[in-house]
Amino acid sequence: MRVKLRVYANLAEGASMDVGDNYDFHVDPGTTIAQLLAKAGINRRDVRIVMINNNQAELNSTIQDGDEVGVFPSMGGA
Amino acid sequence: MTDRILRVNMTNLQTTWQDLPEEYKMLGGRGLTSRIIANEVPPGCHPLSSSNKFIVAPGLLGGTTAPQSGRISIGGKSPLTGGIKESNAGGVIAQKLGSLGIRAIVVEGKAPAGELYLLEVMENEARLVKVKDLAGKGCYEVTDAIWDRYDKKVGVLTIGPAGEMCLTSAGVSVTDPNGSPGRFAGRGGLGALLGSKGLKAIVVLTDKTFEAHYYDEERFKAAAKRFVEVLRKNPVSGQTLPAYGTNGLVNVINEAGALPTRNFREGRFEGAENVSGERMARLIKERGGKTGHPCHPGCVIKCSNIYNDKNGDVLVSPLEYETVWALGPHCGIDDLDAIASMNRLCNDIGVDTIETGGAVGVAMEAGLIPFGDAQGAIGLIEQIKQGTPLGRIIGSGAAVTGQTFGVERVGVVKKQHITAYDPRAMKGIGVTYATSPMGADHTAGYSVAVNILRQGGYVDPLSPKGQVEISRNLQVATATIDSLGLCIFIAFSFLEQEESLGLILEMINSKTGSAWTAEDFTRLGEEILKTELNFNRRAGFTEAEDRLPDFFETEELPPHNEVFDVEPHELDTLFNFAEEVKKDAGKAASLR
Ligand code: SF4
Repeated sequence: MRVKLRVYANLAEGASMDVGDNYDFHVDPGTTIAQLLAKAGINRRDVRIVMINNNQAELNSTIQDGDEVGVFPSMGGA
Repeated sequence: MTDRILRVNMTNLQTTWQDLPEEYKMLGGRGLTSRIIANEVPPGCHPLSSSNKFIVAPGLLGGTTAPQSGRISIGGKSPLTGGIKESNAGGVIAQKLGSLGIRAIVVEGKAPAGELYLLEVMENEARLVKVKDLAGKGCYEVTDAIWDRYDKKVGVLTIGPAGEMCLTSAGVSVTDPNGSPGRFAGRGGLGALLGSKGLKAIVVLTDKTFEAHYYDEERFKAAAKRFVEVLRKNPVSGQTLPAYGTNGLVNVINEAGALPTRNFREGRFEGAENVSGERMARLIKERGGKTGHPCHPGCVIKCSNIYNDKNGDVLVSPLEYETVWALGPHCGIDDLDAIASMNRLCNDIGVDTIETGGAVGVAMEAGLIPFGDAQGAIGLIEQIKQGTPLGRIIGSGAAVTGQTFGVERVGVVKKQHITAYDPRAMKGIGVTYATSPMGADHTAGYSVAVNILRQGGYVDPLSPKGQVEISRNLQVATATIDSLGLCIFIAFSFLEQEESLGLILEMINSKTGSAWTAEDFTRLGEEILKTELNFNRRAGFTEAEDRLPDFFETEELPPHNEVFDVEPHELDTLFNFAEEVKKDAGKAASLR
């Protein structure tokens, strides 16, 4: 199945990806966010915020065909 | 040295020093401004009347070497909301006042009509000086003129033409260590309050910065030093805040489907990437600006920045998330340079960027100009400076603009505009908007940390459950932090690093000789909120004002297609520690 990954802030720099761009990945059914990150070359320990289709998710959440995933490091502000 | 309060009577143009009353000994910042207002300002007074008071107070830790201790609180009865107000900013004057042992400046009375003054504050002397040449001048020009007259080491607090016109979105500008007047206590129209007094600026004439006196200096310094290390170790305060500023939130909140777009029509903005923190950081670097910039001496987090224009000249400092949102996505504008130009204009005129962006978005909703029209928006803001009738309407904020043009979808609570998080996609912040005695104010209880940022736990942003409790806990803790004069961004450490609270208590105790525990920390926050609630009740506020505008309950927000559904009776339990205030409300109203 095919999913899209968007990477932000210093995670993007670290993985040499463009901030917020959609990167397509082919993954097997039952793949988790953590496995997707490994495939993308992102250290799961650097990831604090995960969203699937704009919904909050966890590193062990499984992804479905067509999902759009966004990941961030620890972020703050107000 | 005894700590003092400086009283400035604008009616008879006298200044007097008052020894700090025992009652105020452990209060600073918001705790002190709110207490003085509750004690001295008649709740029913008109905010622009001579009975209202404009109060400036550094935090309890102001003037110390504690990291992040240089926030300055400004308080009064709000010309915008009609309730009690505290708005705080960075800049240099908190550390200066703290170093001089000046715990508050209380401006009372009203100058004769047509007269404009400047207040000089020195260690043991204060003087009101008549200023004709500063009338109608913008904050940048005023600051330059004051530096020419004195020197660049003075701290300056000033209002722009909006404050002089008593417009209800007028804020108060404070100069930063680089001399930019862009540090704003923007919210609640406190610039109008100072303008009504006939006071254009306050100049603090001292080089002193970290010279507060301590009960036990060695203990204090050890705790402060350790606190610096703790803040640096935290990934938010040590890495992403300095790298992307608060504007790093654009992409997070957009990805969460909670970025209010085109006056709360959608939760995602197609132009978000163009105005994001990552884009901003890149432009700043390319143009020779600066990220990781401190807004006051002693800030080690440094979320501020200096944003240059295409030619490499300073355009504005700082460019922040709430401003970018209000003048950007809220208005359908995705041009960061245009947003920065509007930010500079707002700083110069002396209006709150959030309220102004809010009002411009409402004007777009009304069809005055189309969404996305940056030049049109700049034109509207320029009219505020010119004082045209339309400019005065926009400068009076979103509620007045909406009322004038017959707009229903106006995102205000207690007439103050909501900020950069849609409460339908992030219900915890909706609870804070609805209930804070300040009116809609995200900083009063930043539930976003728990709903989206995963700091200090997690509560599902889309569920109505558990939101009142997180907002309550955060509102209480924030009131205390605002009282200490600490920047709110220590909260990210506070929520995640256990050591933080102990270090803050150690700094309080070694500064003052007290023996505070965690319970005292909470008690102070609750007391401040009770004081504020009590004032608002006596000013005529009821629980009916603790609500979001009803379109949030009836119009679904894409992409989640959610409405705000925290029940009113649950909102009413937010201040469950203040039942006696609620019971007394009727009685108090009749006494005013
Ligand atoms: S972290 Fe940001 S807001 Fe806080 S004191 Fe530093 S520059 Fe100012």
